[in-house]
Amino acid sequence: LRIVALAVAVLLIGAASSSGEVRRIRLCADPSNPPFSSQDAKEPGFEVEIARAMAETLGVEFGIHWFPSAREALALRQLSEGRCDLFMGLPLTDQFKEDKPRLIFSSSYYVLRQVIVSPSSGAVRGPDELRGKLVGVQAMTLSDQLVHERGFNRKVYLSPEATFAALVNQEVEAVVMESPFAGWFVRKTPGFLATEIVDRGRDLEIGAALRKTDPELREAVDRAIRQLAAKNLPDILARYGLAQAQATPEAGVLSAELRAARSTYLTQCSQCHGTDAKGTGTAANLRAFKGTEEDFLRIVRNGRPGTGMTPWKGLISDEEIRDIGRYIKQLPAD
Amino acid sequence: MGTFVRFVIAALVLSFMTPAPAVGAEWRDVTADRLLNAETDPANWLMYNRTYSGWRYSPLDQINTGNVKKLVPKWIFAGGTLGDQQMTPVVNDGVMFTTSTALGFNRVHAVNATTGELLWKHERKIPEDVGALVRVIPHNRGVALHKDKVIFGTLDAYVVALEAKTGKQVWETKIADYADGYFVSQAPLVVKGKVIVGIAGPGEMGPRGFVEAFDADTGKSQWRWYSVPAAGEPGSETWSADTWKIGGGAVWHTGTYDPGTNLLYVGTGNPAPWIADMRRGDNLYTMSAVALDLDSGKMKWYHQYLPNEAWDYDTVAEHHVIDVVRNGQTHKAVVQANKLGYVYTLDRTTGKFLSAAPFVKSLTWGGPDPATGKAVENAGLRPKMGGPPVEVCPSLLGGTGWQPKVYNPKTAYLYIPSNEFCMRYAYVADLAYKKGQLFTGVTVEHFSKTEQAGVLRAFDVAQNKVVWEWSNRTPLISHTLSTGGDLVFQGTAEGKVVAVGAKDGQELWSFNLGTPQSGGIISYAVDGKQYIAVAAGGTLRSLVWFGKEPKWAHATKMNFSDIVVVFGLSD
Repeated sequence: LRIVALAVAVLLIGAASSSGEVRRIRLCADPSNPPFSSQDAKEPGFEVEIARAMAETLGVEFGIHWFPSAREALALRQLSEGRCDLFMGLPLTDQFKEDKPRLIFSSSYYVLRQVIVSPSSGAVRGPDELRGKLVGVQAMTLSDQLVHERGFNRKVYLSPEATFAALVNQEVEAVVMESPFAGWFVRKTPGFLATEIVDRGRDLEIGAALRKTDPELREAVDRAIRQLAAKNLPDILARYGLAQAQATPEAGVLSAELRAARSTYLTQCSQCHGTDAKGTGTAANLRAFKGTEEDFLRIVRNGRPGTGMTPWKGLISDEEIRDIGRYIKQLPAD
Repeated sequence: MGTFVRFVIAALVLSFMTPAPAVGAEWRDVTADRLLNAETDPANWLMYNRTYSGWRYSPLDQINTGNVKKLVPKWIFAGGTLGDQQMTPVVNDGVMFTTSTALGFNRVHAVNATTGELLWKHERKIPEDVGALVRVIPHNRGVALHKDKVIFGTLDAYVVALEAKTGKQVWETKIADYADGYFVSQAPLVVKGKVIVGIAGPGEMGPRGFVEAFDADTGKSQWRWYSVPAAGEPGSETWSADTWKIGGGAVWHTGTYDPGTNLLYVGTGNPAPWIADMRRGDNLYTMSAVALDLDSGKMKWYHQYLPNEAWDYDTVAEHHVIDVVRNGQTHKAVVQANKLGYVYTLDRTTGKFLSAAPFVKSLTWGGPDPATGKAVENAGLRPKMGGPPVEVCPSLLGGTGWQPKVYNPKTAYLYIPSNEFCMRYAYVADLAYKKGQLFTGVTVEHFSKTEQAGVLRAFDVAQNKVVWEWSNRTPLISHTLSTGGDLVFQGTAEGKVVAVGAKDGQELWSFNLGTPQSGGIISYAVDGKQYIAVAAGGTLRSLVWFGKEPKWAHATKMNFSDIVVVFGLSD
C-alpha cells in the first residue's frame, strides 16, 4: 500500500508531561490544511476539534503548535522532539507504525475510505457505474490505485483541489477521492453527491501518534476516543461531511446471512466469548477453534456439559450456527 | 441377589409412603393472619422478604454486636447443583424450605432447621427446549408458604403447590408458554389466600411482562396485570407500531404489600429489545413503580423512573413499605433503591414522587429531576446500532442489583449492597426477534474505576443520605441481612460472609464459605436458639460479568457449589 503517498493531513497535537499524570495536550497542527486543521477559528478542522474534545473530556489543558505538514518527516519530528506530544491523522497500518520506532499510536477514531463524487443529476451510485466514464483521481493515492486496478478510464491530477476543479469544469464525469476530501468538497459545493465505496480491504483506520515515552497520554487519548465515540466524534465528523466513514468497518461487505449471523453471535454468544470471539474468562477462544464445521455445529447444539457452554439446540437453527462459524472465520486476524 | 433387590425396592416404596416424621405433628399452618402479622413472629421467616413490608429485618437479638465473634457453623446442607444459587430459605417452626435449581430441574427441600437433616426432596423435571435466558441463568429464588402448602414457580413457567409435610404435589398451574421465553425466577408472595407471581424472561426474550394472582388453595387464576398494555389500552400510545407485542417489562422480584392501602407494589423491568431506537416512545409501564389493588389486580397508580430505557437498568427492586419521618412529618411511603443508583421515595397511596438521592458515585447516565422525579439523561450515552461502545455508569448490573435491600427500623437505615462500576456498552446492527433467542441486541463489558467496587452502604432514610460504607474488592452481587442485635450480615463473591455493626459499619466477624455468597441470608430461632442461615454457591453468570476486569479475576477462579450454611453461637 502506498501509505506514505497518501495525502492524509499531517496534524500535530501537542501534549503531556513526560511522566505520570496527563496535564495538557498540545496539538501540532497545520495552519492551513482544511478539512483537517486550520487557523480559521470558525472551521478549525475536524482533527483540531476532535483533539480539543479529547482534552475537554480528559479535563486537561489544550494548546496548538502550528507547523506545516507538507513534509511529513519534518512535521513528525516536531512530535518526537517534544514541541508537541500528539500527532493526528495517521494510518494505523503495521507498515506505517513499524517504520516509526520512536512513536506509539492511539486507537482509531475514524475509518478512511474511498468515495465517488459526481454531479447530483445522474449521480454515480456505485463503483460499477464508473465503467465507461472518465474518472478523476489524485496521483499515488489509494483511490488512484483502486480506479487503476478496476481498469476504469482514469485521469490523474496532483492535488485534491485540482481533481475537484476538473470535476466542476466537467473535464471528468466523476472523481474517486479519500473520504475527508470528498465529504468536505460535497459540503462546500452544491450540486454534487458522495457515494462511499465499500471495500473493506481498503479501509484505513486513522489514529494519532505519540511519543514512545508517553504511554500515559496514549492511554488517556484512547479513553477519550472511547468516551467520545458515541456522540461527539460522529457529530464532529458529520459537520465535516465524514459521517459515513463511522459505520462499522465490515458493515457493508457482509452478506445478508453473515450480517444476521453477526447479530446473533453478538447478542447470544459474545457475552461469554467476547465481541472479538477470542473468549473471556472461562469461555473458549473461538478464533482458535481447530475442529471442522460439523464439530462446531455439534458443540453449539449440545453444549459442553460441566462448563458454562449451554446447549443451543432448538434455539439457533443449524444453518445459522454454520453461518456464525463462517462469521467468526472471516473476522480480521488483527 | 434377588432378595436384596426386593428389599431395596421395598425400602424405597416405604420412604415414599411414610410421612417424614419431623414435619409431622408439629406443623402449624401458615395462615393469612400469620403472614399478615409475620413481624410479630420473630422466630420464623415465613416469606421471601420475611414481612410484606419487604424489610428483611429479623428482630432477633440473641446474636448481637457483643457476642457475634462466637458465631460458628452448626450444619451445612448441600443442594447438589453447580451454583446459580439465588434462593432465600424460609422457616416455619423449625422446618426450613430451600430450593436448588439447574437446567433440567427445579428442586425443593424440607430440612430440619436445627440439625440440617433432609426431611423430603421434591424434584420437578424441566423440558430441554426452554428458552435461551433459562439456559443461560437457570435459577430460582425460593418458595412461599400457604397453610399446609409450599408454593414455587418453575423454569417452565408453572406455579406448583406441594404438601408441606411430604413434598407431594397438590396442584400445578401453567402460567405461560415457556417457548416464548417465560419462566419463574422469584419466590411467589402469598397474601390473603392469593399466590402472586411476577414473570421473568420478558426483558431479555421479548414477550410482555405480567403479574398474576392465583387462588392459593386451588391454583386457579384470578387476575393478570400486563406491564405492557395491548393496542388500544391506556399507555399503548407510548409504543411505536407493534413493538408492544415484544416489549418486555419483566416482573423479576417478589412484590411488597401494605394492608393499609390493600395495594401490592411491584417494580417493572426494562423494555425489550435493549436497543431503545427499536421501540420509540416512553414504553409504559416498563421501568416503573406500580401499585395494584390486591383484590382486582387493577392499577391504582404508577411512577415511571426512566422512559424509553436504553441500558438494561431494570427498576425491579422491592419497594420497601416505610413510614418515612422527615422534618417532623411522616410520609406513608414506598422506598426503592435501584439499578439507576438512586433511592427513590414515593407516596404509597398516590404514587406521588417525594424525593430521590444518589447512593453511588459511578453514575453518569443522568438523574431524576428533584421536583418531579422525571429522568433527565446526559447527552450522548445512548449507543448507535452497529456503532462503537459507549462508556456509561453504573454497569447494567446496577448501582444495586437484584439483591434485596434491607431496612432496619431500629436504625432507620436502608442497607444497600451497592456497586461502583461502569460498562462499555454497544448496540448490535441487524437485530431481529427470534422466538426463544435472547432479544437484547447489545454487547457489554463491565469494569471499575475504583479498587473496591462493592460497597455496602447504610442509607439514612430520614436524612436521605449515606451514613457509612463497608467496602469489598468485587461487586456485591450477594445478600444482606439486618437483625435486632444491631448487626448487618453481608456476603461477597469471594465467598465470605461478614457481620458489621448496624450503626457504624465496623467489621466484627467473618467466615469463609468456600464458594461465592449469592443466596439469601436469614435469621430464625428454634427452641429459643437464634440461627443465621446463609445460602451460597455463586451465580455462574458472574464469570461473564467479572471476566474482563482484572481486578475481579480472583473471584472467577472459585468453584460454584450450592450450599446452605447455618450458624449459631458456640455452646
